[in-house]
Amino acid sequence: MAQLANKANDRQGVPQRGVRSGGLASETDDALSADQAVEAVQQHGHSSAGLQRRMALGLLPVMGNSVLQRMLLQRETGDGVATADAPVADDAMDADLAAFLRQGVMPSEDGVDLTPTGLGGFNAKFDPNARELIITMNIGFVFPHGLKIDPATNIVTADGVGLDTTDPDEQGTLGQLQAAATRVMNDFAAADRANEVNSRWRWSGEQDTWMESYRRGVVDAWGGRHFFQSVDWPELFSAVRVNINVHQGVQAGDHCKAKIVKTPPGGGLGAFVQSGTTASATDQELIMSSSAIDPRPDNLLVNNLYFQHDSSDINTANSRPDGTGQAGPAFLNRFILTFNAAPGTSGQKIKLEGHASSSGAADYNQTLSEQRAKAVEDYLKNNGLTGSIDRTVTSGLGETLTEDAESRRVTMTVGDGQPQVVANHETGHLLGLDDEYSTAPGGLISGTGNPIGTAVRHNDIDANSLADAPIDGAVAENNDNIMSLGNTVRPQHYSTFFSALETVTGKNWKYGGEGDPPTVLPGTQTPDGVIT
Amino acid sequence: MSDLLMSFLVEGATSGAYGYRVEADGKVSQWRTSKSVKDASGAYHEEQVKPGFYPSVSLSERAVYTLREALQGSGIYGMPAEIHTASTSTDPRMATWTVGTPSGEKTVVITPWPSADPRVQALFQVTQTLNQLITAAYA
Repeated sequence: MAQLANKANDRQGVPQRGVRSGGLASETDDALSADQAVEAVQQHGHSSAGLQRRMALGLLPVMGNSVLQRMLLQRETGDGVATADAPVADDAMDADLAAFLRQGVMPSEDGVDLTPTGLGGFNAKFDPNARELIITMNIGFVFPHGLKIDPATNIVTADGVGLDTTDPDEQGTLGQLQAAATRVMNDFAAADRANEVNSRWRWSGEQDTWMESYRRGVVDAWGGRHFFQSVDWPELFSAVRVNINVHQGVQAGDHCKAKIVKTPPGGGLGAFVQSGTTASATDQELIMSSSAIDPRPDNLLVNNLYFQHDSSDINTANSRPDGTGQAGPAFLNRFILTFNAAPGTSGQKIKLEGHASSSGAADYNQTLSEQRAKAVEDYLKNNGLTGSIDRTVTSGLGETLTEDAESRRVTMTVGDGQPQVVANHETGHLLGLDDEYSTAPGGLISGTGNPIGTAVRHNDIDANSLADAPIDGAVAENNDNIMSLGNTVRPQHYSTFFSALETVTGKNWKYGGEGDPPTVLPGTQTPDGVIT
Repeated sequence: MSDLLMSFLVEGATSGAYGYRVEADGKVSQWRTSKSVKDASGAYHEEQVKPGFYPSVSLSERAVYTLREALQGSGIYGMPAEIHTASTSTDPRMATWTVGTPSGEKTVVITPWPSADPRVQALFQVTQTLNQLITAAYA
């Protein structure tokens, strides 16, 4: 088969690529490029189904795994070619299912604007050909500068032109810019301020690049993470595709107006979404800094506790390597308040990694690093950290290469420990989801979040309709969830998509699983064998 | 009598805290968690500092008078210890205001900060006055 495919490539003047024999290729296979595959498939319309199938592997990057797999299987089983305007239904299919699929795009090609929770809003439609729920959001952007400088005096002040200074929330953003201006005035020599302001706090033509980065990040973060399964027809699945249309300015049909204030990384402006009315899907506003498309530098899922030389004593440890932070017990108490598990849940894993400096023998430092990690674990367990008994996992990583205070530490990592991309979190609000982080009094997270365990706004959809999903419920807890402190899209974060799917199809669905749906039910005979 | 004229600190979950403290003699300090430091190559880099109020600028006697008048006009000395109104965004910030009084310091916690509540808007206007005075002090 591989030889045949390569022959075909030769005939088309396409460079030879390796093609896996048998089974469906994964996206990591060395397939043709998308353009090459489209050309080859078109020109080999009368070739064998197997040949077409292998050529089309190059379409994966543009069509998505699930759509392409379905198309290819139908070619090989002689069901006919699935085209964009021909519903995927055949004689062997349940008559009701076939009739359902032959309805075409539901509720219409234009889709329907929805706001399942009253927060955010998007357009939704179900494509029976692709077996996809298509979520589309149109966003118009304006790009306020962060700061400005008077070239005559080198005095730096807030810019923010484009912000609504009569809106209280945007007044807060203006206040943050004013504070930033004071910081620049304090820290930078007069002659250096213009460069700082103009290069890091003002847009200079990169807005379109920024919009494309945002769009790509959101599509990747939110699309294809989970799928749904029909209650009526278990063989029917729906993948989820997220489309984001971005443009500068305001246009009719926009779901959101976004104001992106130019700041350097960690600009400190924060980010928020405002929903005009709970009934409209097209009156959202998103305000955030340009740096929100990057992982936040103050990773809230990773904390460190620093120890004295040759010590694993919590009492003399400190939250800062120079000893000017909080004492070990006080800091760990705050950590516990922050990362307690929601009642009735096991809580996410907390990795405790001990380190030692290079001073002393390596064997001794290995033991010391393990003792430090164990000391932190004992403190957390003995002082009320809630969740499963095995939440914490300790390891000693031995000595580092340097002899400094930063090496004498235990790193405490919650969940996957990846720093949040705030833009993706905020887009979750535009998709109808509530915050899941918690700001327990005395904890490490400031602000006004809900107490741990509080049901959040999308919990109703979750509890009523996604009961089969492997989740504990949409409640406030500090963890690596995308609507909490991290980036992970879990089943409850598809609850508004789920609601939209039931609305546009008028059918009952249930949670199907992670990633793309299978092309056929497990145990089904296919030309490649039995899908297990 | 306290040496404090006023201070406020704003905290939110998706942003760094910010705020100012103004002493009765006009010394202004700003809440900082980091600072930009120029290195030998002439480039600036960010260094973490222990969170707290750090000296910023000094206001003139006339500016202090203006700020004091603004505070009086805001009504903060008669405000309750907490002002809580409905949030209109997904990231409501919280502000802790403190003013010096003849009997000690008075604190008002405001959630969300700012809001459309007239009392909160009055305090927001105080921050705008302070910002103008700080900018003028740098001139």
